[in-house]
Amino acid sequence: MIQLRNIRKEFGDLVAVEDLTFEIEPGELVTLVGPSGSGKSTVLNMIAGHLEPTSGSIQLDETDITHMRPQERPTSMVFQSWALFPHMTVRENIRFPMEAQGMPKDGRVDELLDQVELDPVEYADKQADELSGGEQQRVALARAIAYDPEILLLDEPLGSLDYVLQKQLRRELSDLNEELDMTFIYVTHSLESALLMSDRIFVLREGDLVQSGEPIDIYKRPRNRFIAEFMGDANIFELDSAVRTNGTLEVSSSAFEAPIEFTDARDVAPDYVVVRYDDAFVAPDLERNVGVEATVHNTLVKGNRVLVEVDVPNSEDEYIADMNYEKGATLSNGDSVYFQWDKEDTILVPE
Amino acid sequence: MSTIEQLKRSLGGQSGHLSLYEVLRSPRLLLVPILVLLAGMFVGPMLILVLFSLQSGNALSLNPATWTLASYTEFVNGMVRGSGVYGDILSTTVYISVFTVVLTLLIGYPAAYALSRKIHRFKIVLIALIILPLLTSVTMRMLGWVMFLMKDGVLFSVLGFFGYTPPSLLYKTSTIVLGTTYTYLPFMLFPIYLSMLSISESLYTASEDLGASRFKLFKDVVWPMSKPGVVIGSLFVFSLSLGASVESQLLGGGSAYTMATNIGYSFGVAQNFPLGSVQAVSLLLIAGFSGVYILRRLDLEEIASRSGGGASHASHQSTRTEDTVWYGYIGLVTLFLMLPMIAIIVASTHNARVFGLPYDFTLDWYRKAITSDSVRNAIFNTLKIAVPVTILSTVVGTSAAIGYTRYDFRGQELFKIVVLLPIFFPLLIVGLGMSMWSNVIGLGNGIPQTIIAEMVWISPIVMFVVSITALGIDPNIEEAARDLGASTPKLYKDITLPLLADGIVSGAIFAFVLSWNNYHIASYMSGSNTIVTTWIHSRLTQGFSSLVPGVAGVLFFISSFAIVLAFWLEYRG
Repeated sequence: MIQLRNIRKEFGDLVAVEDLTFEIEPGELVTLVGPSGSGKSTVLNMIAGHLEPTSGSIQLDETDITHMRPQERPTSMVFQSWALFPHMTVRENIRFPMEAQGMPKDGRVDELLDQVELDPVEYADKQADELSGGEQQRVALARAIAYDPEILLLDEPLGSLDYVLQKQLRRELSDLNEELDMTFIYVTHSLESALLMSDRIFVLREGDLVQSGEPIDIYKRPRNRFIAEFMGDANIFELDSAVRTNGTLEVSSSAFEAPIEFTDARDVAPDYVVVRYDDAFVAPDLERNVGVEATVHNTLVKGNRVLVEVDVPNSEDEYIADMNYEKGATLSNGDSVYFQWDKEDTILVPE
Repeated sequence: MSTIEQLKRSLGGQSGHLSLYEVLRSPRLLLVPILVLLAGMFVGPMLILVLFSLQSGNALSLNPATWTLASYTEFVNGMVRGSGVYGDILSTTVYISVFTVVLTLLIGYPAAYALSRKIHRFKIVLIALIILPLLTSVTMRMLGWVMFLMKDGVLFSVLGFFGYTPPSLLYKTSTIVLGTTYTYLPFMLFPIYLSMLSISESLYTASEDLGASRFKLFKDVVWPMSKPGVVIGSLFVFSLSLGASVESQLLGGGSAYTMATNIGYSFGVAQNFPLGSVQAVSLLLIAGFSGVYILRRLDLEEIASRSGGGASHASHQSTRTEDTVWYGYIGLVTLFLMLPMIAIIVASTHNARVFGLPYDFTLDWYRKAITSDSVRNAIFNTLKIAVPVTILSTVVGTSAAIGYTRYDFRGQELFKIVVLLPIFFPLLIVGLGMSMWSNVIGLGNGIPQTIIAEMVWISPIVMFVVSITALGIDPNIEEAARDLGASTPKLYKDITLPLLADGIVSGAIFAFVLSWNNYHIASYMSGSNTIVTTWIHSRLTQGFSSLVPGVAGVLFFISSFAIVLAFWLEYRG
């Protein structure tokens, strides 16, 4: 288990990480997400030992590794640029960590190449700088796991690959995580990757951990407006009031005709009602249990889906429903409709 | 670029290429050799010139009470106001420098444009040919011009063959300008070339799409973006030609007196060290200011990213005629730069004491040159200097380059400026200062002393060359090696040094060629040991020997071989 306690990192006057505390269980696949400058790469580099925290400690199974050099830590990093040794063959690249750690290496190279789905016969003796992006990525992965590190750190390793390849490698990474029973800490910009692969997602903002949890948890129950919007497309209704009486929460907004009541709402004082695009639905009749009168403004066809944009009285914002084609394509601009959703899909968040 | 690199960049100020791990660790050990070298053999010599400029006589006194500004007054009254024995030394010097700037700009600007945009085939060969003269001895190049221009020289013989006898071309002020324009053209051309490479092809395409005329494209896009190169090039050429001495000595004869020749005169014939030092100090100040200005704007990383071959723009709509014009122009510029070499090759293989048509091929002069005891001795002495200089400068320069590019430390930018600054100082003055310094501290002169002195100038050049290679390598590669458990020795042995190998070898070749061709430092520091360049120089100034072209030929062919090797290493694959 790896534990970060009160980690702080300053670069001169700049505070990259404020005060970070978390722990990750062995074998977990955790993604760190957040906007640029949120400190996620800094955290990864402190775990790897490429950066030293200004204060705080990092513990790996009871051992303090805060000030240990990278070559002494059982962590291994896969870089966005992959950083293969260009003057070596694939085999030499993969043997490098085993040599450095004085491990037996016979036969391991082939096994590792198999694990990352590269044919050893074809690839082992190729020069590293002759490989395509996807192949380099696989070799970098094989090299990183070659000496059985306890923790694999991945810094946007799929960032520069095309979409199809990303999808394929994402799946392989998940499989590898289970197969090896190794802790993976993954930094990414791609929300899709985070939602699909992670056991847990850590959302960082300005050097703080703002929420952590299972993907579905964070997607459905974001802790504030920032996380709600960061984790997926969101329609936002600003609330005028939220009154709690005996376990019932009554929220009202100038956009709603009548207040909406929630009986099982979390214990927060919400400032906004958030409805995900794919939870929203637009139709001339009220078919769901919450609805707002609206006018169709525009429809955008996206493959077999339709994005319906509507105007809501008393709100400047634009509201969008991501609907299947059959339902959405019947609507035309200017139609009077209900912008509606199921009450249990409502997300209530504070600022 | 990741956020971290951006952060570190904003912190370190200049370099994003650092090993993250080493952020807090000091690279002191790697930087020590070059700093010790500079402190001992560069700072001292420059200080000694300043000290001498304050003396009342040729004896050095460290007591400030005896210091005087008399020589400065004499310098200002005599030279700046143009009276007395100094006549118009200053105005001639400035005249030569200004003209050189104007001419190199007029010739170099279109050439830089053509190289950056219009020339695709043979580009590397052309660049190599333009750099080649820089790496050959200034004495040899000027000798080439003498043999080209002199009565019974190559030009006279060719023109005479057609029945035309031109007026004498040597020993005029304009001949000096020809020499300085020739010598410093690459210093104008390359900064402009580099700044033009930053103009991406899409910018040209976009301007054309937007309907800009060629003139507007030039006025609003090309010129503003290449201006930094023009400023750097002009400063470079101006300060270097102020210190040009061999050009005025060999091409100007006694016709024009420049500051550089007068400095040599003050220290030599006139034996007025204070006055010579005042002039040297004034040139040093100009060179120092322009050096600092240029170095502050010099972004090694940018050069590294542009020299990586990505520079080859596909010019999409040049007509055949246009291409012919540009290739023709670059051809002419290259020919101009090669003329003295051609003159030497022709004269050294012509079977007569003086040149004349018809041409009669022989290798006799080479045979005589190589079998002459004094020449063999000079070659042997040169090698005794060049080989150790190559090895030591490569070690010192490479270590400094690794320290500079792979670590982040306080004062990194200052380190770059201080270490690269000696490259900008006129070698005549550097050599002078070194010889005075080594006399004062009792080091004396001789071959070991010359080796140390040349290293001061050559190690920074090696550092520059290796740094460019180092900056072109993904810094993550070394981090990955650390991460995978490599100890420091393994990291250096298996990763860092193999990756830098090409750069180190090029650096070593440059070191050899520059030492092999060095004249100024060696002439002041080698004492009674004659080396090839001083041998040629003395034969030119104190009685010509028919062996001279042959010796110059040997000098040239050995240099060219090394340079071709360097370019082949740089661009293979």
